Amino acid sequence: MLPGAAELVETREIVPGQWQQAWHAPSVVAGARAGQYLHVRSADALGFPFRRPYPLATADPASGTLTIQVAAGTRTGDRLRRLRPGDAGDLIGPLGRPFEVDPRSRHLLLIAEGPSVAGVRMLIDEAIRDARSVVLLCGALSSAHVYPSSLLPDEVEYVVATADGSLGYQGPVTDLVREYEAWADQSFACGTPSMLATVAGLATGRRQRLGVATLGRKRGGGRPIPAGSAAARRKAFLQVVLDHSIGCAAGSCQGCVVAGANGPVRVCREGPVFAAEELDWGEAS
Amino acid sequence: MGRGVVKARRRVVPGMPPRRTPTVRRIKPAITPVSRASRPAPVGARPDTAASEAGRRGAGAGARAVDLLGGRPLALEVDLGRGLVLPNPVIAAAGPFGYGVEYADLVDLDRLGGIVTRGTTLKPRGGHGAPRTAEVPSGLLVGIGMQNPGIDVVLDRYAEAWAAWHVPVILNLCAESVGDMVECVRRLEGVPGIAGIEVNLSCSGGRGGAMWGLDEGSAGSLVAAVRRATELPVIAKLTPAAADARAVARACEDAGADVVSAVNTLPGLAVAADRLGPALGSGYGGISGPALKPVALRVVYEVAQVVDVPVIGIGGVGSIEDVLDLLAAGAVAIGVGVAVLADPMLPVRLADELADACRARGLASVADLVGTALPGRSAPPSTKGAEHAR
Repeated sequence: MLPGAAELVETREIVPGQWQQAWHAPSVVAGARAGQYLHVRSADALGFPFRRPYPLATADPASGTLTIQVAAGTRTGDRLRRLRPGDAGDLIGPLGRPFEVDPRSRHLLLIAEGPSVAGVRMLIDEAIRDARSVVLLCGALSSAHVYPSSLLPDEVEYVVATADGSLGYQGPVTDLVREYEAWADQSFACGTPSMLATVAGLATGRRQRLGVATLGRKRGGGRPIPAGSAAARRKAFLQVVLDHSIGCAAGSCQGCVVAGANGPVRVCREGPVFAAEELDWGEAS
Repeated sequence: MGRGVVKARRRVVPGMPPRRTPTVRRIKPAITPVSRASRPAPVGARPDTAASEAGRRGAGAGARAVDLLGGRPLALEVDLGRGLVLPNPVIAAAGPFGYGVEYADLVDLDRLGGIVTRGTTLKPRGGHGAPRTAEVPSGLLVGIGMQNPGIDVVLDRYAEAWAAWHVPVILNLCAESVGDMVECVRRLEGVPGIAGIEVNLSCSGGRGGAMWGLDEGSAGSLVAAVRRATELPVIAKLTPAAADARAVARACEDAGADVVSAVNTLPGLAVAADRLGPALGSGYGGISGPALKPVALRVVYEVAQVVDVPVIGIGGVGSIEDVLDLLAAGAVAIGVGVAVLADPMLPVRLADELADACRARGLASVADLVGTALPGRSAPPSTKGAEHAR
């Protein structure tokens, strides 16, 4: 967890108020996996230093380049988007626990809302590399705020829902989940707490609605899987990545704690990716 | 010269100039060899302590006292009383640094002056709901709610690691009643690795915010109870919300506190982005960061004038300038708080920079920087010896 030297390669606005930045940071990219995040240092006008987490949107170990998505209107975001190519950055990462995909899962359903596409974007690259089929359900306020399809691989089936109906389905993106839940072997979501709670509720009743067979051993067979482990996430139908402010990223400050099913959990260390069953959705929603 | 030894005669050839004899020039070495008395201490010893000890031994043996870089020895130790001696004045303040073990792989903890753990209570506490932090102008509003697993679990998990460290570990304790606090303190009996206790007088998870430290009566009663229950050094942590921090500090001193630390966070509020309620799950929070520094300076400045016990300054420390300001206001040691979130190595770096600042001023001890801004000081600290700064 040491700060890695990073240089801004490219920055551009992809949707209003959302900037995609490419950083050359070989030491950070090495070993990065989908779902992990970077802790990016910034400072306000009076020099108070702080860090904010950004999910890794893409990472290319060959070129040592990664991308993050930066939102205007936040202190860190406004400072970052004013940087120009060639400027240096202070990134710590990759941090946190990544998504875990069951090796037998062939169909992945990804659900995102607005700018949170960045939270699941890297998983698309990994899934296509492993010859899996991917459907991305994306919600947005209007067609102007929809994540550009040009930034996605051609292999992805991209389904859009907008609140005003200007593009795709009119309504919340969670309405689309039922159409794909029978097709999907696993699903992965990133978005607001209320959206994630809705998706988690759908995932809970999925097995009863569809009568889906459980992958793996028969009930009661084998050793129990420890809660919070990579194996538990791999077995879960739904994994969520929490977009939460993180203070220390070391697990010491307890500033990012959310309610878990078995007590408080730290997003920075036990997350940011959780199996849906690991969280207490009553409070999160 | 004995017999049989033939002395070589210089051969002189007529008509030729005499051969020049080679000259050997004695060159003054660029680096003066270090005397035995002031050689570096073995690996694992604290450099500054080792250097000063070497200097003392060297002085007794008549050797020149020098530190590792060949300069004059620098005394960075801070004696807080009752056997609690910090290797240097920069400590990690309670809260952001957790229990220290979280940073053990990242930070050279033995180069810190001390570690104050996060607040610990008798029973486990779940803390406040999310969100727990909110960015405010020039600072961070924090409402954790004293989440901790309870004193028994903390000691079980971490005391063994603390005992193995050289850095003094001070346990921050928080309680809603005197009985709970005394019970917490009693659990520390015979536990190795704990150098002292910091009594949190502004437990934000208690009866609606800062409570013990608001008046001298309740602060004094809590500290007195702790004093009776333990022989460990006791630090009383003041709240800036008190109407008169001087009275509270005096009460703590009279009750037996060995040290006073100032200040805890200042209660505050931030409004959520949708303006439908507070930004924090707890509603209120504590302001930390640069916004707190002027408040901390005021309290340290006032308290240092009325108590005889050492004062630890905490609040808004993010640079060496902040460290020097708090020392000048009367603090003998300073705590680094929320700034470690962005830079965990900051306390160690500040300790190094403080040593450099002393050398640049030609000071033999960091104590010469303490209290220079207090009224009634007859003269500024001596700058004699500035030529030895480097």
